[in-house]
Amino acid sequence: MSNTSENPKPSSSSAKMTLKTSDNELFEVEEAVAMKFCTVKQYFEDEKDSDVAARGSTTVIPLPNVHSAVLATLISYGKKLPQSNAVADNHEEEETKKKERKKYEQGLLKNLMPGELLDLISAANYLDFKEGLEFFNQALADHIQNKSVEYVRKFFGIKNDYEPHEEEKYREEYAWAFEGVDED
Amino acid sequence: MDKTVLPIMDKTVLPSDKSIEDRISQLPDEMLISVLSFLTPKEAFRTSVLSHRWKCLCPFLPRSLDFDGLYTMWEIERGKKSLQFERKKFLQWVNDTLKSCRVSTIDEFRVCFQFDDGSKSHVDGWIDFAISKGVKRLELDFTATDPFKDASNFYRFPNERFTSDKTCIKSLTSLTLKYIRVTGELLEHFLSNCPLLERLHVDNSEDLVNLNICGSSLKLKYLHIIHCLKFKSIEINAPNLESFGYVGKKIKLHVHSAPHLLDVRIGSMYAFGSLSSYLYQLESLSLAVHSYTYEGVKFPEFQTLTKLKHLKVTVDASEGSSLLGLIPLIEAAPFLHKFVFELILWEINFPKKARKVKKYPNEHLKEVEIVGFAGRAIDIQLVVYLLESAINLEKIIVNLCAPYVVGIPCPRNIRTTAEYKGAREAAMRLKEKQLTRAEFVIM
Repeated sequence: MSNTSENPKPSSSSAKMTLKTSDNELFEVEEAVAMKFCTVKQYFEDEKDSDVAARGSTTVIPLPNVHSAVLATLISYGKKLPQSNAVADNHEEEETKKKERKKYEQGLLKNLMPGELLDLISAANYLDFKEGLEFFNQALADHIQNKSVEYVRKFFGIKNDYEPHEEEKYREEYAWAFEGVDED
Repeated sequence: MDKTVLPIMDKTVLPSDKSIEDRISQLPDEMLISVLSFLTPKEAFRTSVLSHRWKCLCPFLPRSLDFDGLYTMWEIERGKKSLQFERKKFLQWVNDTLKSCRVSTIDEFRVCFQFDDGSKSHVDGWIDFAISKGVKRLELDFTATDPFKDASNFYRFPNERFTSDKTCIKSLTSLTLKYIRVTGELLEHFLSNCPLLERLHVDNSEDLVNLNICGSSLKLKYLHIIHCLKFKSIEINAPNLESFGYVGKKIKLHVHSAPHLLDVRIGSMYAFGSLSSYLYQLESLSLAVHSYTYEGVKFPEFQTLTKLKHLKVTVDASEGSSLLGLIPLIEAAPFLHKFVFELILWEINFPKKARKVKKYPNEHLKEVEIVGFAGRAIDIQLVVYLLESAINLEKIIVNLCAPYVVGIPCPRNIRTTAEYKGAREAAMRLKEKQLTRAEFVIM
């Protein structure tokens, strides 16, 4: 019987949870957002079974595989998603929220280094945060899409372990895959 | 350029400008495959040359195989590429991909390129492959860009494969065949043996003559038959049919039962008679009409189309004609939300005369789109009517491109620059004069 709040805005009535990162930082998060991290949800539900009184800020959920910087970003992304328990918006409000979210997403991706992106994906995978995983996977795919092989190698630091003649032969054999690409 | 990346999982990264640790290759297989599923099949395959580690992922391609050659087809049509050469490459692409594909099931198999019966052995093999992988959505779009191509040379769908009970097509939910010879008997066979079939679209099959859609458990929701030259008759008894489309010559059209029909697309007016009892339940309607006479297009008397929300009319018109005949149709749908009209204008110089038209306030129309706006009396009159009568209009889009150019990868305006400029100026003038609060977009 979890406490579902009708209003997504933070208030004293909505339950919060505390998440502890690998570098020992504590994050207080609204339950609605934290529940998007299915790993957290699972942990919370397991805990609940053992102690009915445990609620909100008294429960600290450890996340030894997630660093604070990464968790901060994931939480902030999670907040921008449509909340499942929010009051239904009318069409206009929905549209404004959508536009805001798009702007936020663009800002987020603009300055993201490949390493940071991978951290976010690994963390989202560990937390089983489906929407985050999809978003960041797509962002990663966008860095590969339509880019030359050299660019992708450089960007991600992938070491080419093909022999030059091996690679040439491969490219010739599968010529259909290597044309029409942005050389940048 | 490189910021210090904070570690997780106890790994440290050197904050040097030269070396970026290759962390992406260290992600587990499932995660990389999941990223690759966001790429097109071609691009996913290309990652195999990044390094040997990436080559290992190659067999686990995405479950949706979409070989889209639309862009290449337009390049061929413009004379920039050779069909022979490109076809060979395309065949190799598909065959190589299928050969290395190790997934056990696929959801979608789509090929869009110009093929004819000459490639039959290849295409037959692709169909076998797709069926063996339990494909759900199968689409073969072999649209021939040359309109006078000999239709008897089109690829023949392999009847023999399906008439024996060995092949399992039970997973099929959607079948789209364009410029492929398929018979009515085979389609009926699919309908009786694919319990999940929801969507059937056939375009340009000269072997399709008769079609009998019946079956109480038929899940069919979408049925469109377009430009099948020898098509003669169709009977429909489809309890779940929601969308029906027919474009072609006059045929015997009997709709015995389609209680859930919501959307209709028809190529001309004669079909109205057969569908008359269904018009009043439709939510969306798409028509193609001609308008060459001075009076313009005329519709039969309609009672109120209370459910109609979307209306699209494609008009083949000559300059001196009038589009005002569309107004009674718009007015017959008091709850119409969106109106799209596509104008294909043939210029025959008739004298242009301004006509008076009575305007009734239209409260529900929210969105209007005009494709092929020419900025001549014929369409300006209609646009002015719409702007003045639709008091709650939210958006109007004026698209200056001709209708058949919209949607293709490298649009090339059929009109001369002078005509295009004239249309654009007329659209700008309308934008300035309009009094509604609507968003006015010129494309």
